Order: sequence, then structure tokens, then C-alpha cells
Amino acid sequence: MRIAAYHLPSHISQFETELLPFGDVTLEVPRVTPTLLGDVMQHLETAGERLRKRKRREIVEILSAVFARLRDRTDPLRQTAEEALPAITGFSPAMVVHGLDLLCKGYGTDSFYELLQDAGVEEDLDGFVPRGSHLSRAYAPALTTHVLAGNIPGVGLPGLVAATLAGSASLVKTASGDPLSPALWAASLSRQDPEIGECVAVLWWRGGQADLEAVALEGADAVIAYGSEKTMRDLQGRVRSRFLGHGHRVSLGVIGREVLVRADEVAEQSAYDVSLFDQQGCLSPHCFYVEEGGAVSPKEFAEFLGSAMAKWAERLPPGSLTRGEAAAIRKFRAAYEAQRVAQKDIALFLHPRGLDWTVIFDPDPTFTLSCLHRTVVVKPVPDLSEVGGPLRSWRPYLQAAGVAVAPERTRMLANALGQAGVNRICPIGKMQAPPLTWYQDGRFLLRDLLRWTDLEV
Amino acid sequence: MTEETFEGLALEVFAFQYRWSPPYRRFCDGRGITPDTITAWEQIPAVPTAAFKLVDLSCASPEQVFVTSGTSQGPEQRGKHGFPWLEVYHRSLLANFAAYILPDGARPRMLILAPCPDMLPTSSLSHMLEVVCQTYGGDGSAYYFGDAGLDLTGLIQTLREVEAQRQPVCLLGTSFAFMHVLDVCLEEGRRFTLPEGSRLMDTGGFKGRSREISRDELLRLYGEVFGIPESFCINEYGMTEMGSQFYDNVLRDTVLGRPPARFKEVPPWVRTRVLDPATLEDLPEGEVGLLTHYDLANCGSVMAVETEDLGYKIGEGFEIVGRAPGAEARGCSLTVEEFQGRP
Repeated sequence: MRIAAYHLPSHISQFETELLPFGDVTLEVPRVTPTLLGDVMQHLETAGERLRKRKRREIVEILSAVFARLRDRTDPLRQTAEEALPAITGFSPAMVVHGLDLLCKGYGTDSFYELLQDAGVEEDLDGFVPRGSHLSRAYAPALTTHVLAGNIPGVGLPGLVAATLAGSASLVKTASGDPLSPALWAASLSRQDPEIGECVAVLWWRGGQADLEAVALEGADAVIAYGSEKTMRDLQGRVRSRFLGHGHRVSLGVIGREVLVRADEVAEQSAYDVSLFDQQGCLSPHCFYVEEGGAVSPKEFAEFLGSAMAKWAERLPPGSLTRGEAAAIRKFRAAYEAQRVAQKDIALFLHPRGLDWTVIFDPDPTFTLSCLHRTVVVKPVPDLSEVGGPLRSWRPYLQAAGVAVAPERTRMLANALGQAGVNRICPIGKMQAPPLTWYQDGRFLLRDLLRWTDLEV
Repeated sequence: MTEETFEGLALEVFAFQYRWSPPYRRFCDGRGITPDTITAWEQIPAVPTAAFKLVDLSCASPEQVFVTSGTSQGPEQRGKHGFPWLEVYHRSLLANFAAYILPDGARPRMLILAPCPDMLPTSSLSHMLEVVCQTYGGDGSAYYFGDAGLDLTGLIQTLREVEAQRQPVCLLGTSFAFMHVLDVCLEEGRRFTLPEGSRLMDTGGFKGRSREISRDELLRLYGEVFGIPESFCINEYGMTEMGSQFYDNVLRDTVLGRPPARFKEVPPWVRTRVLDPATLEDLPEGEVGLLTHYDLANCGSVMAVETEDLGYKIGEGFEIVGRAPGAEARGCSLTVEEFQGRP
């Protein structure tokens, strides 16, 4: 199967292409040169002017229609995604289908209005509006460059949606782990409204090409980037305009003793959060803190979690592992097996033959990074009020905490986790479906793209 | 040693270790394996090298405990391996060393670029080099490593003498030490033409060091700086957790008139498997997987050792390609590798 994995302004048709093989899927992408990129960006800036003249209400309707059509499994673009993404991303076909459904569900009319409201720009950005004792006007960036990373479809969508809602044209540099999804999204936007489709360009090039990066970064009024800490630092140093970096993050689960009367149900929700996207996401939990003194012990909960992981491995089968990844899981297991041999109170609950999933009980409260691919550690905590302690040194990296506690303890726990640096606290089983208005990395999304001018009269 | 002999001995050693090493027995019980439930050496449970960091696996009180250098993980993370019977270790060491480093029966003067056992009493490498030197080293054998590190001045002086005397030498040391010598010689423009029959054994890699270099480039530099041909340069692969070592077969093949190849040969009392980390099944020749060794010379601790080293089967042996890498980030989650690599 050969698919075009790019989206360019309609008048640009003269360019060389190259092929990216992913098993039986081959992606065709333009061979990007500084000249081509410069042309594209110039076009985007012009097209963006038309986008800013459109009514917010219209754009919201168009975006809603885009996601509604992608939700439909008979839609041709959706079908292309379902067919090609397993080979490209390494996720199993069932995971891709489930993930796309989950993704589309998060983007609806209400969420777009909420996002605009949160930024204080429900109205069109075409004049000064009263704000306290004076007037203010918001300006959208003319052009936002999005630098994407990783293989999880939809990682860059909140930024793309926010930029489009704000009235900014977008240049998307796709990740090697998934050059396709953003191109399909742009195609569906074009299909819905060709004029707005002209405001988004999607290209892939091999990372580390300084000449291309210079064009893409310097020509934008804002840059939204995803990737490792190192990449973020490197990009930030080269961006003169607004830079919104999203480095790699870690998440965790917290389970109160009172919910352990229904340990099987909580384990099932927990296992879902771990299994989704094979634990590759920044919202995927690495470990679970389980409070002592409940109907089952934390160690018994680990066993429940193992059974639940087995169920999810059948419903949403894991993707393929490279030898290196498989070796990393063996090494991770071996380290705990070694501790058990040394008579530490360690328990391992493992897929009986392969590496489909791994649950480890470890009494050491230190927060532990998992080797991922459905490998999770359960740790006991005497009281949930103490859970912030082991997280303190992880503050810069903390993302979400999925929690299962009685409603009356939620605030107490949220205070402890928020203080520790967690920026999203949600029920267990919902970790991978954040609302569009979530303050990812503790920051605004749309609002941070805007530039404000105040007028005092 | 025939397959039957090896299998018989292996199962006997396993039964012995299951009985006398309580931590190993716990490990096997955890996997539901006892001497009564298995019939083939491949079924003997292999202990991950990580276990040596946490527990004493010896079957009897050790005569000697070797400790891994553990440079990258700090002192508390060092593996310890106790040998109740050093005699077994020495026999394995000497027979194997003679076969691969001295296949022509040479007894060369040994120049050792590593600390002596007095300096590093728990280093298996220092012990090994000392035993080899005591047994096979010719007159004038010496260490070129003192409290201040490598004795470069002494070494260079000796190499000049040796060049004039026309008596072959055997240089032994870590790859890192050799790299240092090469760097200095290259910088100062020093070249040696060591007498014919001179040879070199290096061991270890460069992980975490300031400079990494390919094997091919290293061999080329050995030729350029010391005048030692590639077929007389042997890499040793050993680990504190094992009683036996592995050597490149290149010198042995050359001396025996076999077509030259370069990989690690497995001594008769050892079996090495290359396992698919996903399934723990044997991989076909050429495919890279995890190395697991079954070493009868480890009779005093655990004979089956699962390493974190990656390698592939080739001919009658294997080649090592490095340490298993951590998983790189596919998605947007922080990984162990990235976290460890942070500045």
C-alpha cells in the first residue's frame, strides 16, 4: 500500500518525492528543500490572513465536522488510517481502531468553545474588547510551526486545533514514528473546507537538518514542539519567537484503600490505562501507589492487576517489540527477580510465556520508571497523604495521576499530587482521554499562542 | 567433550548447586524447576547477572571473592562472585588461555597494562593476568601500572629494548589502557616494530569513556603503532560472574593453518546460547540476541548465567556486539535511557 503522507498548498506541485517503507506500507513524502519550505511558509502566511477573516463560529463548525467524519469507520480517510497505522506505528490493528475512536471523541463543538473561552477569546479577534479598566486585543500568530514526535497518533492535534481556532496557519513537521496521521487530518480539513485546508501544510524530513530547521523555526511566530528534553533545549535555543515545548513526561496511578473492596474493577481500569498505546504515552502510568489497609493488600492488588493486564492484552493486543525492547523488558524483570532471590518481598506477575505484560510488586516506595511496553510496578503506601514524598524529585517530569479514591478524599489527594508537580488528576481508566482544555504541562494551550495589546483610554 | 558428557556433567552440577546454593534454589523454585523436573542442560535456569549484585550465590565458603568494577552504577551496584575452589577457575583459565593466546607454545615476556592483584585484590582481571603471567610469562614479565596509573615511560622504554632484542612479547590489558597508549604514541609520533611472534590481548569495551573506536580501527592502530599483525591481536570477553573466558579464535586458526575468521570460540566445558529476548528461544546464526552461558567452571556458584550482553552465533562460537540497549522512546513518555542521560 502506497500513501501520500504530506499536505501542501494546492498550487505547489513541482517537487521531488522520496519513499519511506514501513513493512507493507510505503509512504510517499516530498524531498524537502529550504526553497520548497520557504515557498510553503510564505503561502501559509498569506492563506492565514483569510483564516483570520472567518468567523470563530464557522471554524468551530468545520473542525467539529472534521472529527465527526473521522469518527465514522466507513470514511475513506479513517479507513486509510486504520489500514496503514499498524505498520507505521507498531501498534496492533485493534489498538489503532480503539485509539482513533478515543481520539476523535475528545474533539467536539463544546470542547472548542471551552478552549476559546478559556483563552478569553470567545468573540472574533477583530477588535479591542473591554478588559477591566482598559481595552485589550488578542492577535494570533500568523504562522505556527509544530514539531511533532513519537508514534502516538494525535499527539500534535491539540496544538493544531488550538492554532486553527486562534486563526494561525500551521506548518507541521511530522515525526518519523508517524508521518501519516497529521497528513490525513489536514486532508480531512481540506475536504471539509478547502480554504482552511490551505492554511495547514504537513511535511516530513529527517531530523537534524539544520538548514530546514532554521527555515521552519525562524519563519514562525510560534513554535509548538514535542520530544525529549534534549530536543526541547536545542529547539528553544534556536527559536526567537514564542516557544511551547512539551518534553517527555511520566504519569502514575494512586489507589485508596477504600476502593479495594472492588479491586477487580479498579485493576481493570488501571490495566486499561497501562495497556493503551502500549504504555508509550506521557499519560501512561509507570507505577501505581496502592494504600495499605484495604480489603486486599497492595501485593494482592498487583495480582488482580496482572489478571486484568492479561484481559486487556487479549482485547487490545500489544504491538510488536524490537529485540532491544524485548531485551529491556527481560532486564527489568531480571532485576526484580534478582531481588526476590535476595529475599526481598518482591512478587512478579508475568505473562506465562512472552512479554505481553509484566506486573511487579515492590515494597520500595521510590518512584520507578518502567521500561514501558505494558510493564508496571505496584508500590504500597501506608497512607495516601504521604504519596507526594517519593514524587518530589520527579517534579519536572510529572504529568498525570489517575486516582481511585472515595469522593471525600479526592481534594486531599489532589492537593498532595498537585503540590508534588502533577498537572492532571483524573479518575483511573480515563488517563488517556484528557479534555482539550487540559493545561498540559501545567500551561495554557490556546492562550499561550496569543499576543495581547492593551489600550488604555 | 561430547554432548552427552557435557549434558551429564551439567545436570550433575545443577543438582549440586540447587542443593548447596540456597538463593539459587529459591530462584529455581520460583520458576518451578528442580533437578527432578529437567532432562536437558538447556532447561537449567539461568541466573541474571543482576542477581550477583544482591546475593551470594556460592555453594560453599569462597576461597576468593571477585567484584565487578561497576563503573557506571556506583559501588553498591557491584556484582560479587565467590569461588569456593580457585583450582577449577585456574584450570579453565590456563587451558583456554594457552589454546587461544599461546597456540604455538610460545612463552613470551608479558607486559601487563593493568593493576596487579596487590593493587586490586578483588579484580578477576588482575587475578587472571597474574596467574597467566606466573604460569606462562617469560623472563622480564612485568606490570606497567602503578599508583599513578599506566606507566607509559616504563612501557615505551621496554618496547624499545624489546625491538632491539628481537624476542617476542605479549601485551595484555584493557582496551581502554591500550587506547591511552595508542593516543600518546600517535600524538608523539612513536612507532614500534615489535619482534615477530609478538601478540596482544585486550579486553573490555569503551562504554562511558571519552572516546569510542571501532574494532577494525583499533586493530589497524595496533598494527601501525606496535607492528603487531591483526592475526596476533586477540580480544578477550570475560566477566566476573563467570569462571571461564572467551577469546578470538584468530591466532589459534592462524597457527593451526585454518582459514582466518574472527569470533569468540567457546571452550569445550562451556555452552553459549543466543536467545531471542521475546521468546527465550535459540536464534539462528547471525541474528542478534541475549547471550546466556552454561559454564561448568562455575561449579562453585551457578553454572547458568543470563547476561545483558547482545551477540550473535557464528561458526562454532559467537560474537559480542555490546550491552543490551534500553528501549528508546517511541511515544512521548520519559524513558529510563533518557532520564539517565540527562545532564
